[in-house]
Amino acid sequence: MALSARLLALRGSPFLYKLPPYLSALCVLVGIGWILLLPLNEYSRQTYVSENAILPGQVHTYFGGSEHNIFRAFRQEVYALSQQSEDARQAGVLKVLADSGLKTASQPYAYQVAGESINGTNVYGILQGPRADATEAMVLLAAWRNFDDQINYSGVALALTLARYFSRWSIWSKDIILLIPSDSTYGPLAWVDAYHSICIPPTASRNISAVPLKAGALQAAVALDYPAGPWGQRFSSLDILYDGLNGALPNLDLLNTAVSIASGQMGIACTLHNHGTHSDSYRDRLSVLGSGLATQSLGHATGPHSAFIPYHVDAITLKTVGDGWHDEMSLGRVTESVFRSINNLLEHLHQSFFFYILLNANRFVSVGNYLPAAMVLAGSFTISALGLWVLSGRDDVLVAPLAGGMAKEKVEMETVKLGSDVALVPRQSTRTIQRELFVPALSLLGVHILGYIPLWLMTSLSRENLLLGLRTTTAVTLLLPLALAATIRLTRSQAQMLQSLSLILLGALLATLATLNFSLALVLGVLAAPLAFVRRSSSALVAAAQGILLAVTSPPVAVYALQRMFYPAAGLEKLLLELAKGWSAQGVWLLWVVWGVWWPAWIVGGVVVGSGVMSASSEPR
Amino acid sequence: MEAVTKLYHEHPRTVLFSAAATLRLALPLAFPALPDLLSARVEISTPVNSFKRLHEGIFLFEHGLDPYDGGIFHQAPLLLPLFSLLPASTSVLGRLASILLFTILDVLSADCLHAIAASGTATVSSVFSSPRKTQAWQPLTVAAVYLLNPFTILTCLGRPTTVFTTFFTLLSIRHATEGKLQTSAFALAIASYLSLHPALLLPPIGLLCYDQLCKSREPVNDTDGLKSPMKHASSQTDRPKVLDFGIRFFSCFLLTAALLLALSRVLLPSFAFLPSVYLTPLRVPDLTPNPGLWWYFFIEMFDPFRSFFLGVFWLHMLSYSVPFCLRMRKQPLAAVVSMLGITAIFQPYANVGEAGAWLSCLTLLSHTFEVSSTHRYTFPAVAVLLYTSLLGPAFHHLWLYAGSGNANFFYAITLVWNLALLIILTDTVYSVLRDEWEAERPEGKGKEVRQI
Repeated sequence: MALSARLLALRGSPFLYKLPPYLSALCVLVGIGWILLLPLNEYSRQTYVSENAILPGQVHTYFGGSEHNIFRAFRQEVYALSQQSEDARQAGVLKVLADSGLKTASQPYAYQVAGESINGTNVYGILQGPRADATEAMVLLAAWRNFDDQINYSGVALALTLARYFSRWSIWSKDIILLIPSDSTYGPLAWVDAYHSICIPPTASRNISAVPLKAGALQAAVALDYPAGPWGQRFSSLDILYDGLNGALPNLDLLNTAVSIASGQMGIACTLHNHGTHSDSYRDRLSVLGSGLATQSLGHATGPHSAFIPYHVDAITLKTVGDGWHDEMSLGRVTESVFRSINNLLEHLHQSFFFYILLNANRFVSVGNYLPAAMVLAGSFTISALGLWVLSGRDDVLVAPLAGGMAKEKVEMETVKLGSDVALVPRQSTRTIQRELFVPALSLLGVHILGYIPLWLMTSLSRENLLLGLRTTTAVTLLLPLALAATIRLTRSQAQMLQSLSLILLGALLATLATLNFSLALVLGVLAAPLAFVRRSSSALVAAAQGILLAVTSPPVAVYALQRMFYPAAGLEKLLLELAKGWSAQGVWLLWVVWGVWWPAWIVGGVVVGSGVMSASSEPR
Repeated sequence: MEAVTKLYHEHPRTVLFSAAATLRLALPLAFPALPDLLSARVEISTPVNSFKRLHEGIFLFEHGLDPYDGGIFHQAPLLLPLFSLLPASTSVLGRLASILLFTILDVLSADCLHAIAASGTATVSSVFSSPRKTQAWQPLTVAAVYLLNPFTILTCLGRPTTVFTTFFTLLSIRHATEGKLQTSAFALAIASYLSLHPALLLPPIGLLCYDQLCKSREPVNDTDGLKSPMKHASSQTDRPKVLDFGIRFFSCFLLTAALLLALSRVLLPSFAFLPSVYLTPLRVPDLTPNPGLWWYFFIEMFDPFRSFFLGVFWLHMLSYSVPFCLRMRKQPLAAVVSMLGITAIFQPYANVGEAGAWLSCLTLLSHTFEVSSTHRYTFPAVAVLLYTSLLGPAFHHLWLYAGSGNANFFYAITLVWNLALLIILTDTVYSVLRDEWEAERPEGKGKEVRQI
């Protein structure tokens, strides 16, 4: 009774109105600090194979001996084909596949993005498993050109050798599809899209033909990336790529299987995100975690495997790195063993984690440990929004001192009886004012609709104009808040309501995003964090400081920073083109999140700051 | 611009209705894939109202087969001839025609809400007059909230047949506020014929209609909240007999329902529609996910306990109807709106459309919003609704498409969604009762509630 009465008494306390910004700030700090804790042993775990049926590395691999000669022959063949025209190359690959006893087919595709066209043909063959009932299949991928646009000589040759080798085994209880796309991103994308559709009507940006041959439901896909030339090149370690489109991840069991086979059975070191020297120190773990967050938040394809993951086909790419003593036969035996493990599966990979952050090939953080970071960040916006909503319903006189104003009017007091106690409180604190919600709600809707203009610009302009588009957007973005503040002329209460509604929407969208793409939500939460703290202020100094803070963390500036920090070699135009390709061809949401979620929230933050300046200039003290 | 403002000031209702209709027709024109996408969403389409299932029924019906044979179609038979008149919905024209039909229904529903709000029944009944009656929203605002509610718009494009139920329920309430016994019972019977659960509204709507009849017999009264007991007693004699009224209302309802069922039998080869339409909500055989509370519970249920819990769940829903009427007898419209909320939240095949329509109907009680926004949790609850309406589809995607989540994800979100709706419902009940209490004790205004 006493406690609840005390809590109830707190409800009217002015202390509560001051609290939300501090709580929000605490949430932001906790969110960022949380991430920094994750690499510690207490918050991460050793990976383990969770699905019993996989039995990684439990079989003897027979790939070797005379297969090596066949591999070398195929490598020469691939080299010879690479010297020929595209059509002859495809015909040659198809012939090799058919000679190994596979049913073959090809699928042309074309994408049109930003005035550029991406053309190619997927060549593939289906090896019908002797013990398979054509309901399940696994995919072995070797793109003709790897992700760095080098010709994947040894990768394709190894895949062809393995196809020939696999076709002699009687153990396959799933069909094996050998897929050789022209490139590493759009070929697999076109193929997997067509594989899972009855028909794909051509659009302005996409024209892919149907897949003439199909096997069963795809269980897993493994891509080989081994661009060593016709004379071979030994490698030191395997880099395992696992990020799917839009931050989706393959089941951790597939990755664990590959790691345990490569390092346990074959003694090949495995790395992630190309971190060659991993000493398992806090620093190295944090750096892998950072790379993981970066690639996941961008959500673009990182290899041929990426396109499969949105279709719930677990996929990884094995990429050879460095110069060492492992040869192509070791990679072949790893692949063989991985396929034997997938072959063992009785049902789709489901046992292990789908949400994880890897710290190195053997250590991960599970969703329960990391999700709170993004949720707490999203929560900081909601807390600020609730605080602002309550403030927006209070009289100006009471709120003015809290909001930093100078009003020192005599406050009318009234007595409040609570049981036997009598208290003298300012009259205004017991009153709420009628909120005028119409203008803020309409402005918020308007700004959100406006966000589709930069989105359209950044995805539809041709390559040459993208840079101009970004510059225009930057200029307009930085000026728009002042212009809007000057035209709409919000009152204090309306500005608070506008900010409150915008923050609550941002918080809800970020929380939703955190369940789909944790990293993007986290990064965006950190970048947008200032939006929860900007306030309308009539002081020019405070307004200027807030304005500068906002300008530095604005969406277009972030695009510039992204290029400077992460892609210094590639020009800004190249980055914009990749982003546009990601949106139009790969279906990556990143740009929508930036221009449709973050940008409107940022504009509203700017309008709130700007409205303070406007109100100060219109009524000089 | 001036012409528009002038037009708005002269015919505000026309402008609002045409704007809402334009929005509903422009959206499918701009995004042709949107209506079919929404029709396929489990949040909007349930086994008993899905537009796609309706088309299965129409196909069988047009080919001379019993539409209830397939076990897919569970909607009222009279919808079949109505929709077979429209062009096939696979064509562009057919899609637009069906959306036009649902747009007309939405506009008519909004008109009903406008009339209900304009009648002032929410604030003044025959025995009570709210001290806050000046704070009620404009009827036009009430209609606007209904028409521009995103849930209503999405539902209109998704075209579930429960939109008909909503319309006839509102029509019944409208006639009840006009004191028209027969038409009110008639409309309610159509609504119950379509969806069964509006039958639970029989007591509150009956009470509302009775109250209006009483009010219309009295001379227009003074403005103070409480009437003197003397006058109260004298007016008692003028009132229509309760029993007499009840029997007439109920028999009107039953007659209409019987007529509709007979008409359905004429259309169809057998009585097979009866179990298919009315036993489906009662026995819940189809456990397709929906935003309600039943499906997951009955998936997990062991068969021997199934009938028992079906009884418990239905009894729970039933148990509100009469108590609301007793407690809110002075404000019958509040009882109706609360009961609408109960059915929207607790019905076995809950859907966003009915929940959204109920949320819009809450604006009929707008005079009490002041109480709930100062003393209760309206804003947090609405924020939770926003969170869940974004997280719900995301979790559904993770469960069924990405494969990285499971059914618990979606069910957890539907729990939170219903929790938020329930908080809004309890807040409404609180503020309505508090309003009534403050009319009796004006000195208690603005005080905290404490147990004495």
